Amino acid sequence: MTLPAEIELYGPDRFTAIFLAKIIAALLYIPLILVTLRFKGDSPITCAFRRNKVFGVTVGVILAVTLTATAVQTVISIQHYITDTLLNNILTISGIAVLVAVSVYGALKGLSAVTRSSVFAAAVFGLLIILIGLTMWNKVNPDFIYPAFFEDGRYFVKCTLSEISMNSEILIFAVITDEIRSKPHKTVLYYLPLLLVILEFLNLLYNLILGPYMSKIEYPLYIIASLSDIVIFRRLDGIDAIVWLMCGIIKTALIIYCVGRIYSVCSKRPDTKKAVVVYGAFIFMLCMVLGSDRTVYEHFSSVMSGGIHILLGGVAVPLTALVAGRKKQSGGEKK
Amino acid sequence: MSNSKKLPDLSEKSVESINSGDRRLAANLNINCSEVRRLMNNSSDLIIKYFSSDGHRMAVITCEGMIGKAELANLIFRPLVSAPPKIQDDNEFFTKVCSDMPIAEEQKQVYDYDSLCLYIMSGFAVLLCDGAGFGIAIGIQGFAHRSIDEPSTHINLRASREGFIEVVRTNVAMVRRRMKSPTLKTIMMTVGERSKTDVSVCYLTDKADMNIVNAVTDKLKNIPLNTIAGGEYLQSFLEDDDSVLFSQIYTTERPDVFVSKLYEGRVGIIVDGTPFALVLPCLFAENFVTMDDYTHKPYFSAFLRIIRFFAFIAGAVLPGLYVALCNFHPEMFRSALLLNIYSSEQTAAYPVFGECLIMYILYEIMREAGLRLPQSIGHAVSIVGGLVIGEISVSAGLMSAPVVLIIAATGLCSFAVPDLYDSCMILRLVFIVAGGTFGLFGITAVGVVIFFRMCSKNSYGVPYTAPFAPVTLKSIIRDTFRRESWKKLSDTDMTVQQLSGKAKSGHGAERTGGNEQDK
Repeated sequence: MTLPAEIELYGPDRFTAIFLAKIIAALLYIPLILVTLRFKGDSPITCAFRRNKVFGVTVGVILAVTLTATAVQTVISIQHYITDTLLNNILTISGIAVLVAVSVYGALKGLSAVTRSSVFAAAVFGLLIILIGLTMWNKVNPDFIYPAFFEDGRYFVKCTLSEISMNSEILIFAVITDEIRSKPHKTVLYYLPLLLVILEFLNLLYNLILGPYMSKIEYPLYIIASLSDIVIFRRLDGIDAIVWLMCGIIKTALIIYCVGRIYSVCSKRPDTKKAVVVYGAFIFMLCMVLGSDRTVYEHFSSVMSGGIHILLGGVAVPLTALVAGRKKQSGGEKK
Repeated sequence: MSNSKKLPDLSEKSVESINSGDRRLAANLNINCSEVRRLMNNSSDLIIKYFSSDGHRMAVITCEGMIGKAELANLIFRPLVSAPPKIQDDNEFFTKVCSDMPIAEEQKQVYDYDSLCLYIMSGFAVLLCDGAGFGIAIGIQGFAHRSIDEPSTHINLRASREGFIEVVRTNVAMVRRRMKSPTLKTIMMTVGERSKTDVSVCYLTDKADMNIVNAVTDKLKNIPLNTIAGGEYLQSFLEDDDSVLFSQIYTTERPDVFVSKLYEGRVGIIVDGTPFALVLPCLFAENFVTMDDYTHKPYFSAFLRIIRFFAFIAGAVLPGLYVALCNFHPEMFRSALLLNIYSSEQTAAYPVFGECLIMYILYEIMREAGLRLPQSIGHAVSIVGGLVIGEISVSAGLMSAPVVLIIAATGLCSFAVPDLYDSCMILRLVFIVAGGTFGLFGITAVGVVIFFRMCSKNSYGVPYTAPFAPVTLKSIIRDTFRRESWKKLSDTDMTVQQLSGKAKSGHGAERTGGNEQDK
């Protein structure tokens, strides 16, 4: 899920960067897919826990830490987005409190509630794109599109790394594969191409409309939306803000749910409500500490854009589980 | 509870042995009549008519106004007085009357006082004979009831004009008339410790999920209420979570809608004493469908449905959105509109947030007053509302014209989807507060909370938000936003069980037996 504050670099190169990033992201999914195939849909944490408790708890803690970092980054980036675009004078504590509270509520309502809600977010996103398409077609300039060129190799690598680091969904998949009804690897196979198409399309839109100005803009879709005029409203940036807000809340809710799930597997307690609420409070405090100072957040964000959390939670953990995990005994314990 | 006792040879008629009470009838007419009087606290509407048939002392016990007097005279008194069986022994005589004299279609033997009293209160005439230790309950109900009439809700232009009435058996007959299929099954049961309200559970055996049927009947059996004054009393017991803003049970006053829902694999419940039948599982999208959609051309139906969806969203969100845009994001208005709003607000006494809240509350008070008052006074309320609140408040500078317009428009919008009016009303208030506090951010946060809440609900294993989430594209294309033509609809049947996300195990409740009678 690409959140606006995480997007740092734009340009025609980004077509190639996105494509390359998604191919690398797909490769990163391989250990996780192998885990689900070998352990019949079990998540890395479940099969690690089956080997022994210490191994399971260690895997759980690593995943929880990487998820927490992702959640904090998401909440703070959305908070900054709100401050930069919608409500300039909102208190940091109010914004973070509302975001975390809604996310905790979603996590308490369960995986179905959160994932089904994402359909509505997708519908609003689709509406936004249609409206932008209808109102901005006369501002499109095909001259802005020209073959990707790499004058600066570091720029391209940075752009690609940034794109890869945005694939934090791999961490969520690593936890919830147990609960995906259809075969998890199929879900991944559908999800990645869809994401690739959406991102490439958005990039095309940015390039066609913003052209050379794109790399100077922090929130390109917001700017494009604000240029729109749909007769009733002058601008569409409100809808853009709604889309990103919904995405951010849903992503945070999923992460909080995942940590609740990790707690459930590790403690063998099915009721995770208290754990979810406590974890929500913990996220709130972390966000308050990191989000109150932009410099601190930028340092944190630069560490995250290196993709260390993806490699650790999304690749290293599934690989370890693949090697050391234990299969479910036939006729033994039930999920 | 149930002691089975062999009946005399009454097999040709729908006769049933009722012997569920512990206190059995005596073989003495005076004792029986006295006991009935005592059990019914000597109620003034209890009528006991003694008479003699060929020397046998008999009595007919009825409840005043509950029976047909002509039927009583023609079916009971006349044959018993004019041509009674020539038998000396009282017991044999009464058994002969019971077995050989077909008095009415519904004729049941009663052996205990509890059942006897229940039959009397249900509009049966109970025939007792001195020397016989049982009674005959004869179904000659003739209580006054409303005739079949056009429904007061769910008004349609071209569809049927018949609506359910308050009598459960008439309603079941109306359903049967529209579905002459042996797969239509009705289960009659009584609910309510004291009221003993008749409830009929209807479903199509080849369409409905038996897990859902069993779950419904089990829940109905275990309802702890004493009285059931309407179908809505049962709703909170049938819903998984009655605190949810949107009802998970569909109510309809129309037998045609009821039958079409049954055909989609749903279970229907008709409750005696109310013209509103319950249907479950219920989906959110169903609230936007009317019977007229199937009588109009498909393109027009699709247009109307989209209008209804839009009206619901506007009805819930528009005032909150207006407050949010005015207070926090005025740049989103077009310049001319912004100037107009600005000039209107200059003359208003309150900020937009306050104006919207006041107007909203006033509007709801007017609506409530107009609804409860007699029609003639209701018109006066409308005039007061339209002229005084609308016109004068603007000219007096209390309110701005755009706010009045917005509240009036949202009021109209919410009437476009009457089934969701109460949800829409509450949501409107919540969105006004959210928009006034945090602008678009608040509206989005509340919106997401509502989505989470809606999406977390399953109505008897079927996701409440289906077919939108989880997406069932086939259903969306077939008969949700748009509807296919009847030619295409007739190609394939689609039931609620076919929607994505339907729990495979359903409710899994097993039938445990009870007091239902399979018809």
